[in-house]
Amino acid sequence: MSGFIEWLEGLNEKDTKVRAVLRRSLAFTPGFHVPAYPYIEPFIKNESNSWRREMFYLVAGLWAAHWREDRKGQPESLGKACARYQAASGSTSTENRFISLLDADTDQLPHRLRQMIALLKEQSIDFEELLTGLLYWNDEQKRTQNGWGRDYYRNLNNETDTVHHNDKEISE
Amino acid sequence: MSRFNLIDEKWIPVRFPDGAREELGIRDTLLRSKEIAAIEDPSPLVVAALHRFLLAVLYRALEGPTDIDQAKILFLSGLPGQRITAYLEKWRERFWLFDEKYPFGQNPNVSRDEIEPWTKLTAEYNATSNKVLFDHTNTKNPGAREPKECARWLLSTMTFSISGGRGYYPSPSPNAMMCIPLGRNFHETLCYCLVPYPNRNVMSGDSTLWEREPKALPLNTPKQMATGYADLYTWQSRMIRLEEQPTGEVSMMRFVAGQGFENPSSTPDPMHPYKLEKNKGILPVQFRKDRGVWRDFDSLLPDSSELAPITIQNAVKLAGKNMNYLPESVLILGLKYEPPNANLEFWRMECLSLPKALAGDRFIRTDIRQFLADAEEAQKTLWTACNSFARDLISRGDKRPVSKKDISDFVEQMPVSSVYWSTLESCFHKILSDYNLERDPEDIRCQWLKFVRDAMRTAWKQHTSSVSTGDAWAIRALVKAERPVLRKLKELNDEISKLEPSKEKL
Repeated sequence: MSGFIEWLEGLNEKDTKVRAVLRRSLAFTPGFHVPAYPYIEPFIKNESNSWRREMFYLVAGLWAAHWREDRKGQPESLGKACARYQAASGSTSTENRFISLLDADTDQLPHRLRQMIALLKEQSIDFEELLTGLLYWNDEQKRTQNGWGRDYYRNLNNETDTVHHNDKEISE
Repeated sequence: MSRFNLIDEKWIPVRFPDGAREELGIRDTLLRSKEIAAIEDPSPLVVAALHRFLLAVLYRALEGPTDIDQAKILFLSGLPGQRITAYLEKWRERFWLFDEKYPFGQNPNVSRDEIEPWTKLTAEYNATSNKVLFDHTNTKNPGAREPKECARWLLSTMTFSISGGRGYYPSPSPNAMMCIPLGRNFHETLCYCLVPYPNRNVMSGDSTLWEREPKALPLNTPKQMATGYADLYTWQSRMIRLEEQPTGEVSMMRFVAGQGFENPSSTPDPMHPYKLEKNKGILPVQFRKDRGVWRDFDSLLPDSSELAPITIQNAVKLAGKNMNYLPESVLILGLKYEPPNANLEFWRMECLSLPKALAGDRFIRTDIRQFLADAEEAQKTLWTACNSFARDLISRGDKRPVSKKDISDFVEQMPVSSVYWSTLESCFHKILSDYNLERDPEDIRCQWLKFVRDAMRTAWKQHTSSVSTGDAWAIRALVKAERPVLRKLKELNDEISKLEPSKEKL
């Protein structure tokens, strides 16, 4: 999984069609849009777990939809990007969207994620981290959901200093 | 016919240093006190009552001590057996449990109409007006009990009667903790608790229940003040008359209200710790439902305010600089009820070790109080976090109205506080046992702050992991709630690191 986004970036440099095909794949159930196969399969050829395969396809589509040439800024986790978006836009519905994303089951996830990424078009998103999170979406401890929740709420206020210092505290 | 004389009959349960258990009479218990390790009974109330009763006998038999020098002589050279024997012989006729005129601790004038089962003498069994969980004794047909049991319960009833309607006055502060410092043997324990009279006048005015004529009923003066320690320790808060069956056992008794106790705060009970409360003045420290005794440990340690139990102050005085003579631990016994409710909530006995540093000049009460304050403050932060969590979770992001009661009910069932306190309790005992004169106080404080930090972290982490599998609202509430916890942990870390480098420099 590591280097997947780098891999997509590499393909994108060589072939202008890549993003269009992957973007289009978002209209289908992840992994069911045949034209996307040549771009994804070579990377995940040994992956037999269907959930993991689907998430590679989903993230590839989201990456393509979100890609912009002149994007600047350090890529951020989804939680942080949402917090930043909310702070910038002042939108009151972002939190509800974010909450329903965290509560999404496996069927709802692609749709809600797509909506959220569309909303975050101005933010720079760390897709590699997003992929890692999604691979563990069904973890019993809900590590991904908790991690995203922490990122979101801790970045909504100005307590970043304290929080950073203590991030390790509770998990120690 | 007179029967069951408490001086010789075996009724006081004692344990010897080798673990053997036996029951002894008053004389043997007092004369062999150096051979005995401790008094032991399944009921903490009986244990406390027996100590108080034996102390009353000693006060009267020894007519003192009236100063610390006398007390030291008793402590170092033992109790004068002859005086004790002579006193007991003088009053032998008043120590019959069953007697027409002077039944011990009872009043022969109680009307025959006031009949109750023996179970009313105990906290552990059902009474006619008071049911006890898990006890199935039938009060109409309670069976019979042995005289020795009834004698023990008779004393515990008088010491721990609680208030109730119909002129039922409580014993002298039954709700307060009673502190008995434990010596290496029972003799030392007795000496620690045998605090000197304030002066000779008080001693000469003192008397015990058995030295007076049984009162006529109904009482002329419902409330009285205690004349001295012996009077206080044998306060007749209930008028009882045990009914002896032909088998020698007791099934029923006559039972009515007894002597009221006037103004308990003016004469401090030597076994009680006191505290100064805003607007209310000096009050005895009581057990609390949701709180271990150790959290009030500072109130047991002597300092210039002299609010610590006089028994512990006396023990420290007796030991002087000799650490071997210090009590190693202290028994804390008693019960809890909410007046005017006449039902007991619980009774309890705890044994806490006393720090060796008590032998020094340093007032460790201040240190311990600081430790406990540190712990309380950290707990407050946890409470704030729990409150915030409960509010956010129930209100679903302010979408649902939520009452204060909902929040407090929710917080009450959260295990965070209980995990925190129970983790910290064992650490506190460790601190106490490590607290000797050689230890640097800063070093101990540093260790304690680490314990507090770790307990806080453990409690919150446990909560976090139980919640993290919940829905997104729970995650939201959790993340929002943990801010004060993180801030407090940082504060503690800063404090700890301030204390640590100074140690390294040394």
